[in-house]
Amino acid sequence: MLNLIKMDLYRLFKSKPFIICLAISALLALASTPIEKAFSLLAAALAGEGAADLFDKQEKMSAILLSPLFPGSFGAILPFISLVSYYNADIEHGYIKNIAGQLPARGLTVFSKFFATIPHNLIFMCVGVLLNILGTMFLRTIVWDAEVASALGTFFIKLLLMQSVATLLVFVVSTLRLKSLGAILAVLMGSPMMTIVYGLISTLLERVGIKNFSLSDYMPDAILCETQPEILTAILSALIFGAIFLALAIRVFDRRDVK
Amino acid sequence: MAYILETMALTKMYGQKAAAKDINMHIEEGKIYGLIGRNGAGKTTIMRMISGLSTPTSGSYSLFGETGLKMKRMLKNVGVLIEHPGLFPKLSGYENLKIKCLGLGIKPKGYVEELMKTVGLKPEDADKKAGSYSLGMRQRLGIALALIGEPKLLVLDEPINGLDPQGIVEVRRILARLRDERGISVMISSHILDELSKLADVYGIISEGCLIDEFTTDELESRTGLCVMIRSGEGQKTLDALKGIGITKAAIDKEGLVRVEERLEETAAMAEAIIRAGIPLHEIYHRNATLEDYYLSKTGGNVNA
Repeated sequence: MLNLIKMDLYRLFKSKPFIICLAISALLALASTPIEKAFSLLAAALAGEGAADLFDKQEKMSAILLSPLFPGSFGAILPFISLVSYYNADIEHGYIKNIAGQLPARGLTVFSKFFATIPHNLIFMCVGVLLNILGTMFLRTIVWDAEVASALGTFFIKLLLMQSVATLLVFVVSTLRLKSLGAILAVLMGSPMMTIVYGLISTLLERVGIKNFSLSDYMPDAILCETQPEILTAILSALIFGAIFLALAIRVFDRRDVK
Repeated sequence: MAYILETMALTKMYGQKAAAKDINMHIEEGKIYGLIGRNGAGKTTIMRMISGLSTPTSGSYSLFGETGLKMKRMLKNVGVLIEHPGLFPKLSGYENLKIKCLGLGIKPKGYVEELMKTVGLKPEDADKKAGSYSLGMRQRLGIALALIGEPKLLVLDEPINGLDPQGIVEVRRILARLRDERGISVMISSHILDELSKLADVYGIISEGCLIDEFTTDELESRTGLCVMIRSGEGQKTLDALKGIGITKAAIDKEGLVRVEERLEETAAMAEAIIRAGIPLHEIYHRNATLEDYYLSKTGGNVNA
């Protein structure tokens, strides 16, 4: 299993879509604060207000860590686009045929892809946060506040949420071999359209008795509240969602023939 | 006799259609098994099942004497090249090989270079992108991929398809060397029966999902002897004319020649019957039957092998 993960990691780091998406993500993260500031200045100028107070504002480190995963909806799409491309590559090119048959269970290939996704998501998140810090440092002073530790915890919950979304993508792309649907889902993740879907799911959940649960609150780019029940619900949601789709992906992949 | 691969009533259904039905085939250690059949006969389906890429609908098979769960562990000894080499075109030949090495826990350094040498790829090809490889180079790289992990059985589906004559000879030499020097067994399918006959030790004929015959080269020689070949203007009419004098063991080959396998001494009577039927007769001669002739006789004269 470790060997398969090593193989998938090597393939991931050789994947051009991963490098391209990461580079764009990094640029967006770096530019987000200056762009945001430029818009604030413009808005202030248009309103005839003074802009001096916009400079030298302090920014809390915890706020950066808690801010949406990637600035702007386009930024949220990128890691998922990279994942869809990565999950699909070995199937599209037929490379999977070289190795799937030699394993005791074909589903192991799905399992190893899932594990290789952890560093993928971690890299995207770390690069996003680090470059966001760097971009902020050009214009603002970052202060290390008391809430950094809990913000870091939230950061890892976001990683968990992202990982659970990845299981949905691995199921759709690798197991069902629906690359287009995977790409659509990846795009929808960062689109306002998804709010409608989240709303529908929440309504359905309410009908089956799960009340006060809004799926949009537990997507990787959501701003999480830091209350304990909220955090617990987020962790549980990620684990249940991830486990269901991972188990489904492995089971179905094992049963389906490799083409 | 102990076989490294033995299938027991192996069947694969797609809906109501049987792509492979009750297949009972046998491969001995260190032998090359040639699988023959027309397009859609079920060759690839069988190869997919025995290489673990597809699950049989019913029936079973043993690998290296093991069945059930133990057999699944034996699948690591089966290298496969199905339909076309599965390669990442944007990665180099070396990287393509390295990926599978990592997956199987093999240190790629030195190993990959040796593999490339085995299949006749030059060291300077290692860094070229697989997408820029010629068809022959891609097939060789595909064979190299199948060889990773020192498999004892290679399953190669049409590995010489689309190759130029030199490429075909090179692949044949590689496979013969693997069998002779490493004792690797090979299951190979090909449409080029003449080429297959230079390589295989055992043959299996697949027709409409069924294994209709399995024989060794020695058995082929004893079954195929002399035959009469007739070149005429009209193959089907020639068959009808021959039927008129009671000759029924005749078929049209892919070059349009009529091949007769009975009453071989009666060439004069055959010629007379053809001419009487008003068919232009260009040539009539004796020839030793080939694998192709035998295949055609078994499949009822289908020329699309």
